Amino acid sequence: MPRHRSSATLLKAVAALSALLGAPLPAQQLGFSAAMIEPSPGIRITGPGQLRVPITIRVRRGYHINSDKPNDPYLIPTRLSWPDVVPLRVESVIYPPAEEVKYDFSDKPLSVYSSRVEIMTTFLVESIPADMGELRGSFRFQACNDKACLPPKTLPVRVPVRR
Amino acid sequence: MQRTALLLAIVATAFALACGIGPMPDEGGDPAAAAQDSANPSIPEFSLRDLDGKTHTNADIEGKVVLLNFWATWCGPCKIEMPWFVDFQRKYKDRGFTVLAVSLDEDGWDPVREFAEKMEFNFPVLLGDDAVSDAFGGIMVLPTTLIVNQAGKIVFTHQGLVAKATYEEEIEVLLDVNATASL
Repeated sequence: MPRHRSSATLLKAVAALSALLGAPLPAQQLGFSAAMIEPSPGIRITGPGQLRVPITIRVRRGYHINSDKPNDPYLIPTRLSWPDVVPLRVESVIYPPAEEVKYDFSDKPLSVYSSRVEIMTTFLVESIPADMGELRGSFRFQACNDKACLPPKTLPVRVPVRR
Repeated sequence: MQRTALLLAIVATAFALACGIGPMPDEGGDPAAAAQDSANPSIPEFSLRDLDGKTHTNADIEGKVVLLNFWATWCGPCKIEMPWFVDFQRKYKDRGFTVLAVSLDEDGWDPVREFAEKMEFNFPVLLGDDAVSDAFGGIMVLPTTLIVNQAGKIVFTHQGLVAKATYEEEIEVLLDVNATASL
Protein backbone atom coordinates (compact mmCIF):
# COMPACT_ATOMS: atom_id res chain seq x y z
CA MET A 1 0.00 0.00 0.00
CA PRO A 2 1.47 3.42 -0.88
CA ARG A 3 2.67 5.40 2.11
CA HIS A 4 0.33 8.36 1.58
CA ARG A 5 -2.65 6.07 1.47
CA SER A 6 -1.64 4.47 4.77
CA SER A 7 -1.39 7.87 6.40
CA ALA A 8 -4.77 8.92 5.10
CA THR A 9 -6.33 5.70 6.32
CA LEU A 10 -4.70 6.11 9.71
CA LEU A 11 -5.88 9.72 9.97
CA LYS A 12 -9.44 8.75 9.07
CA ALA A 13 -9.38 5.93 11.59
CA VAL A 14 -8.06 8.21 14.32
CA ALA A 15 -10.69 10.80 13.39
CA ALA A 16 -13.47 8.24 13.58
CA LEU A 17 -12.29 6.82 16.89
CA SER A 18 -11.69 10.26 18.32
CA ALA A 19 -15.17 11.32 17.26
CA LEU A 20 -16.60 8.33 19.07
CA LEU A 21 -14.62 9.16 22.17
CA GLY A 22 -15.38 12.88 22.05
CA ALA A 23 -11.76 13.92 21.80
CA PRO A 24 -10.26 17.09 20.36
CA LEU A 25 -8.83 16.65 16.88
CA PRO A 26 -6.01 18.18 14.89
CA ALA A 27 -8.32 20.80 13.49
CA GLN A 28 -6.15 22.09 10.69
CA GLN A 29 -5.83 18.60 9.26
CA LEU A 30 -9.49 17.68 9.21
CA GLY A 31 -11.44 20.91 8.56
CA PHE A 32 -12.86 20.32 12.00
CA SER A 33 -16.01 22.03 13.22
CA ALA A 34 -17.16 21.69 16.82
CA ALA A 35 -20.75 22.46 15.85
CA MET A 36 -22.86 21.38 12.92
CA ILE A 37 -26.27 22.40 11.65
CA GLU A 38 -28.75 19.62 11.15
CA PRO A 39 -30.25 19.72 7.65
CA SER A 40 -33.68 21.28 7.74
CA PRO A 41 -36.59 19.29 6.28
CA GLY A 42 -37.85 22.56 4.85
CA ILE A 43 -40.89 24.73 5.26
CA ARG A 44 -44.07 25.44 3.35
CA ILE A 45 -45.35 29.00 3.16
CA THR A 46 -49.10 28.78 2.92
CA GLY A 47 -50.18 32.34 3.52
CA PRO A 48 -49.66 35.56 5.43
CA GLY A 49 -48.98 35.30 9.15
CA GLN A 50 -46.32 33.90 11.41
CA LEU A 51 -43.94 31.16 10.36
CA ARG A 52 -41.89 29.35 12.98
CA VAL A 53 -38.65 27.77 11.81
CA PRO A 54 -36.51 25.69 14.18
CA ILE A 55 -32.80 25.33 13.50
CA THR A 56 -31.03 22.51 15.31
CA ILE A 57 -27.35 22.67 16.13
CA ARG A 58 -25.30 19.70 17.24
CA VAL A 59 -22.28 20.51 19.38
CA ARG A 60 -19.58 17.90 19.34
CA ARG A 61 -19.11 15.93 22.55
CA GLY A 62 -16.44 17.42 24.79
CA TYR A 63 -16.97 20.91 23.37
CA HIS A 64 -19.21 23.81 24.27
CA ILE A 65 -20.18 26.98 22.46
CA ASN A 66 -20.98 30.25 24.16
CA SER A 67 -24.66 30.99 24.65
CA ASP A 68 -26.33 34.02 23.07
CA LYS A 69 -25.59 35.92 26.29
CA PRO A 70 -22.17 34.85 27.57
CA ASN A 71 -21.46 36.22 31.01
CA ASP A 72 -18.00 37.46 30.11
CA PRO A 73 -17.65 40.50 27.86
CA TYR A 74 -14.67 39.00 26.02
CA LEU A 75 -16.58 35.91 24.90
CA ILE A 76 -18.21 35.70 21.49
CA PRO A 77 -21.96 35.08 21.61
CA THR A 78 -23.75 32.53 19.49
CA ARG A 79 -25.80 34.23 16.78
CA LEU A 80 -28.30 33.03 14.23
CA SER A 81 -29.01 35.74 11.69
CA TRP A 82 -31.15 36.06 8.61
CA PRO A 83 -29.78 39.02 6.68
CA ASP A 84 -31.79 38.56 3.50
CA VAL A 85 -35.17 36.83 3.64
CA VAL A 86 -37.29 39.43 1.82
CA PRO A 87 -40.30 39.42 1.51
CA LEU A 88 -40.32 37.74 4.91
CA ARG A 89 -39.42 39.65 8.06
CA VAL A 90 -37.66 38.27 11.12
CA GLU A 91 -39.96 38.79 14.09
CA SER A 92 -37.85 37.03 16.71
CA VAL A 93 -34.95 34.65 17.21
CA ILE A 94 -35.38 32.73 20.45
CA TYR A 95 -32.38 30.94 21.91
CA PRO A 96 -32.85 28.12 24.41
CA PRO A 97 -31.88 28.51 28.07
CA ALA A 98 -28.13 28.09 28.52
CA GLU A 99 -26.23 25.83 30.90
CA GLU A 100 -24.07 27.44 33.57
CA VAL A 101 -20.87 25.41 33.64
CA LYS A 102 -17.73 25.98 35.67
CA TYR A 103 -14.54 25.12 33.82
CA ASP A 104 -11.04 24.86 35.27
CA PHE A 105 -9.93 27.79 33.13
CA SER A 106 -12.62 30.14 34.36
CA ASP A 107 -13.17 31.81 37.73
CA LYS A 108 -16.93 31.75 37.36
CA PRO A 109 -19.47 29.53 35.59
CA LEU A 110 -19.86 30.26 31.90
CA SER A 111 -23.12 30.45 30.02
CA VAL A 112 -22.80 27.79 27.32
CA TYR A 113 -24.56 25.37 25.04
CA SER A 114 -23.52 21.80 24.45
CA SER A 115 -24.93 18.69 22.80
CA ARG A 116 -28.16 19.74 21.01
CA VAL A 117 -29.34 23.33 20.66
CA GLU A 118 -32.60 24.35 19.01
CA ILE A 119 -33.01 27.98 18.01
CA MET A 120 -36.46 29.11 16.98
CA THR A 121 -36.97 31.89 14.47
CA THR A 122 -40.36 33.41 13.90
CA PHE A 123 -40.79 35.07 10.52
CA LEU A 124 -43.60 37.37 9.60
CA VAL A 125 -45.05 36.57 6.20
CA GLU A 126 -46.85 39.53 4.68
CA SER A 127 -47.13 38.16 1.19
CA ILE A 128 -46.39 34.78 -0.28
CA PRO A 129 -43.06 34.93 -2.08
CA ALA A 130 -43.36 34.06 -5.73
CA ASP A 131 -40.01 32.46 -6.22
CA MET A 132 -38.15 31.62 -3.01
CA GLY A 133 -36.21 28.38 -3.15
CA GLU A 134 -34.76 28.57 0.35
CA LEU A 135 -34.26 30.77 3.38
CA ARG A 136 -30.61 31.67 3.84
CA GLY A 137 -29.13 32.56 7.17
CA SER A 138 -25.85 32.29 9.01
CA PHE A 139 -24.85 30.75 12.28
CA ARG A 140 -21.87 32.19 14.15
CA PHE A 141 -20.33 30.52 17.16
CA GLN A 142 -17.09 30.04 19.01
CA ALA A 143 -16.25 26.70 20.58
CA CYS A 144 -13.89 25.50 23.29
CA ASN A 145 -13.25 22.38 25.25
CA ASP A 146 -11.66 22.41 28.70
CA LYS A 147 -8.14 22.84 27.30
CA ALA A 148 -8.35 24.81 24.07
CA CYS A 149 -10.52 27.01 21.90
CA LEU A 150 -11.24 27.10 18.21
CA PRO A 151 -11.55 30.38 16.30
CA PRO A 152 -15.02 31.85 15.76
CA LYS A 153 -16.77 30.22 12.84
CA THR A 154 -19.75 31.10 10.66
CA LEU A 155 -21.76 28.33 9.02
CA PRO A 156 -24.37 28.87 6.30
CA VAL A 157 -27.96 27.98 7.20
CA ARG A 158 -30.26 26.75 4.46
CA VAL A 159 -33.96 26.01 4.86
CA PRO A 160 -35.65 24.71 1.70
CA VAL A 161 -38.96 26.37 0.87
CA ARG A 162 -41.38 23.80 -0.48
CA ARG A 163 -44.35 24.47 -2.72
CA MET B 1 1.27 -8.47 12.27
CA GLN B 2 1.60 -5.04 10.70
CA ARG B 3 -2.18 -4.64 10.77
CA THR B 4 -2.24 -5.47 14.48
CA ALA B 5 0.48 -2.90 15.18
CA LEU B 6 -1.40 -0.31 13.15
CA LEU B 7 -4.63 -1.05 15.01
CA LEU B 8 -2.86 -0.78 18.36
CA ALA B 9 -1.34 2.54 17.30
CA ILE B 10 -4.77 3.83 16.28
CA VAL B 11 -6.37 2.76 19.54
CA ALA B 12 -3.51 4.23 21.58
CA THR B 13 -3.67 7.52 19.70
CA ALA B 14 -7.44 7.72 20.02
CA PHE B 15 -7.18 6.98 23.73
CA ALA B 16 -4.55 9.68 24.17
CA LEU B 17 -6.78 12.14 22.29
CA ALA B 18 -9.77 11.15 24.40
CA CYS B 19 -7.78 11.85 27.54
CA GLY B 20 -7.07 15.34 26.23
CA ILE B 21 -3.40 14.61 25.88
CA GLY B 22 -2.82 15.43 22.25
CA PRO B 23 -2.29 16.44 19.59
CA MET B 24 0.98 18.02 20.59
CA PRO B 25 3.69 17.05 18.13
CA ASP B 26 6.74 17.65 20.26
CA GLU B 27 5.48 16.53 23.62
CA GLY B 28 6.17 13.32 25.38
CA GLY B 29 9.84 13.00 24.46
CA ASP B 30 13.00 14.03 26.19
CA PRO B 31 13.18 17.86 26.14
CA ALA B 32 16.98 17.80 26.09
CA ALA B 33 17.01 15.50 23.08
CA ALA B 34 14.37 17.59 21.32
CA ALA B 35 16.52 20.69 21.84
CA GLN B 36 19.34 19.06 19.86
CA ASP B 37 17.20 17.77 17.00
CA SER B 38 18.57 19.17 13.75
CA ALA B 39 15.19 18.60 12.09
CA ASN B 40 13.51 21.32 14.16
CA PRO B 41 11.84 23.79 11.76
CA SER B 42 12.87 27.44 11.58
CA ILE B 43 10.50 30.12 12.79
CA PRO B 44 8.82 31.82 9.77
CA GLU B 45 9.60 35.45 8.90
CA PHE B 46 7.32 37.80 10.80
CA SER B 47 6.85 41.52 11.24
CA LEU B 48 4.22 42.52 13.78
CA ARG B 49 3.39 45.65 15.73
CA ASP B 50 3.02 45.72 19.48
CA LEU B 51 0.67 47.76 21.66
CA ASP B 52 3.03 50.74 21.50
CA GLY B 53 3.32 50.64 17.72
CA LYS B 54 6.82 49.19 17.73
CA THR B 55 7.50 46.61 15.02
CA HIS B 56 8.94 43.25 16.05
CA THR B 57 10.70 41.01 13.55
CA ASN B 58 12.86 37.90 13.59
CA ALA B 59 15.90 40.14 14.07
CA ASP B 60 14.61 41.18 17.52
CA ILE B 61 14.67 37.63 18.83
CA GLU B 62 18.00 36.48 17.37
CA GLY B 63 20.01 34.61 19.98
CA LYS B 64 17.09 34.43 22.41
CA VAL B 65 14.92 31.66 23.71
CA VAL B 66 11.37 32.72 22.86
CA LEU B 67 8.03 31.56 24.12
CA LEU B 68 5.77 32.54 21.23
CA ASN B 69 2.16 32.31 22.29
CA PHE B 70 -0.89 32.65 20.04
CA TRP B 71 -3.95 33.63 22.03
CA ALA B 72 -7.15 35.68 21.98
CA THR B 73 -9.22 37.54 24.54
CA TRP B 74 -12.15 35.18 23.88
CA CYS B 75 -10.03 32.12 24.70
CA GLY B 76 -10.57 31.03 28.30
CA PRO B 77 -7.72 28.50 28.53
CA CYS B 78 -5.32 31.15 27.14
CA LYS B 79 -6.02 33.35 30.14
CA ILE B 80 -4.86 30.67 32.58
CA GLU B 81 -1.41 30.76 31.01
CA MET B 82 -0.94 34.51 30.93
CA PRO B 83 0.10 34.96 34.57
CA TRP B 84 2.63 32.14 34.05
CA PHE B 85 4.12 34.00 31.11
CA VAL B 86 4.42 37.13 33.24
CA ASP B 87 6.36 35.01 35.76
CA PHE B 88 8.59 33.54 33.04
CA GLN B 89 9.40 36.97 31.65
CA ARG B 90 10.37 38.20 35.10
CA LYS B 91 12.37 35.07 35.95
CA TYR B 92 14.25 34.44 32.68
CA LYS B 93 14.46 37.80 30.93
CA ASP B 94 18.04 38.42 32.02
CA ARG B 95 19.14 35.01 30.72
CA GLY B 96 18.26 35.79 27.09
CA PHE B 97 14.59 34.89 27.12
CA THR B 98 11.43 36.65 26.06
CA VAL B 99 7.74 35.97 25.71
CA LEU B 100 5.99 37.20 22.57
CA ALA B 101 2.21 37.03 22.76
CA VAL B 102 0.43 37.25 19.42
CA SER B 103 -3.26 38.00 19.71
CA LEU B 104 -5.51 36.64 16.97
CA ASP B 105 -8.48 38.77 18.01
CA GLU B 106 -10.47 39.73 14.94
CA ASP B 107 -11.70 42.96 16.52
CA GLY B 108 -8.26 44.53 16.57
CA TRP B 109 -6.51 46.37 19.35
CA ASP B 110 -9.39 47.54 21.56
CA PRO B 111 -10.12 44.31 23.46
CA VAL B 112 -6.45 43.33 23.44
CA ARG B 113 -5.26 46.63 24.89
CA GLU B 114 -7.85 46.55 27.63
CA PHE B 115 -7.00 42.96 28.52
CA ALA B 116 -3.25 43.54 28.42
CA GLU B 117 -3.54 46.50 30.78
CA LYS B 118 -5.66 44.49 33.18
CA MET B 119 -3.20 41.60 33.19
CA GLU B 120 -0.14 43.91 33.51
CA PHE B 121 1.82 42.14 30.79
CA ASN B 122 5.57 42.65 31.03
CA PHE B 123 6.28 41.29 27.54
CA PRO B 124 5.45 42.46 24.02
CA VAL B 125 1.87 41.87 22.92
CA LEU B 126 1.52 41.75 19.15
CA LEU B 127 -1.52 41.70 16.92
CA GLY B 128 -1.67 38.89 14.38
CA ASP B 129 -4.01 38.08 11.54
CA ASP B 130 -4.80 35.29 9.11
CA ALA B 131 -1.56 35.88 7.20
CA VAL B 132 0.48 35.38 10.36
CA SER B 133 -1.54 32.32 11.25
CA ASP B 134 -0.95 30.89 7.78
CA ALA B 135 2.78 31.64 7.95
CA PHE B 136 2.97 29.54 11.08
CA GLY B 137 1.22 26.65 9.39
CA GLY B 138 -2.35 27.64 10.28
CA ILE B 139 -3.04 28.37 13.93
CA MET B 140 -6.38 26.65 14.37
CA VAL B 141 -6.33 25.99 18.10
CA LEU B 142 -5.76 28.49 20.88
CA PRO B 143 -3.66 28.63 22.85
CA THR B 144 -0.87 27.48 20.57
CA THR B 145 2.59 27.99 22.03
CA LEU B 146 5.94 27.54 20.36
CA ILE B 147 9.22 27.44 22.24
CA VAL B 148 11.97 28.69 19.97
CA ASN B 149 15.70 28.26 20.60
CA GLN B 150 18.54 30.75 20.17
CA ALA B 151 19.02 29.63 16.55
CA GLY B 152 15.42 30.46 15.65
CA LYS B 153 14.34 26.83 15.54
CA ILE B 154 10.94 25.75 16.86
CA VAL B 155 11.82 23.08 19.37
CA PHE B 156 8.52 22.56 21.18
CA THR B 157 4.94 23.05 20.00
CA HIS B 158 1.90 22.95 22.24
CA GLN B 159 -1.73 23.13 21.21
CA GLY B 160 -4.06 23.75 24.12
CA LEU B 161 -3.44 24.28 27.78
CA VAL B 162 -0.42 22.47 29.23
CA ALA B 163 1.19 22.50 32.64
CA LYS B 164 3.25 25.47 33.75
CA ALA B 165 6.03 23.05 34.73
CA THR B 166 6.21 21.73 31.16
CA TYR B 167 6.99 25.19 29.83
CA GLU B 168 9.48 25.84 32.62
CA GLU B 169 11.35 22.63 31.92
CA GLU B 170 11.55 23.37 28.21
CA ILE B 171 12.72 26.96 28.73
CA GLU B 172 15.34 25.83 31.22
CA VAL B 173 16.61 23.16 28.82
CA LEU B 174 17.04 25.67 26.01
CA LEU B 175 18.66 28.28 28.24
CA ASP B 176 21.02 25.64 29.62
CA VAL B 177 22.00 24.51 26.11
CA ASN B 178 23.12 28.06 25.38
CA ALA B 179 24.97 28.39 28.70
CA THR B 180 26.82 25.10 28.06
CA ALA B 181 27.74 26.09 24.52
CA SER B 182 29.27 29.38 25.66
CA LEU B 183 31.58 27.78 28.24
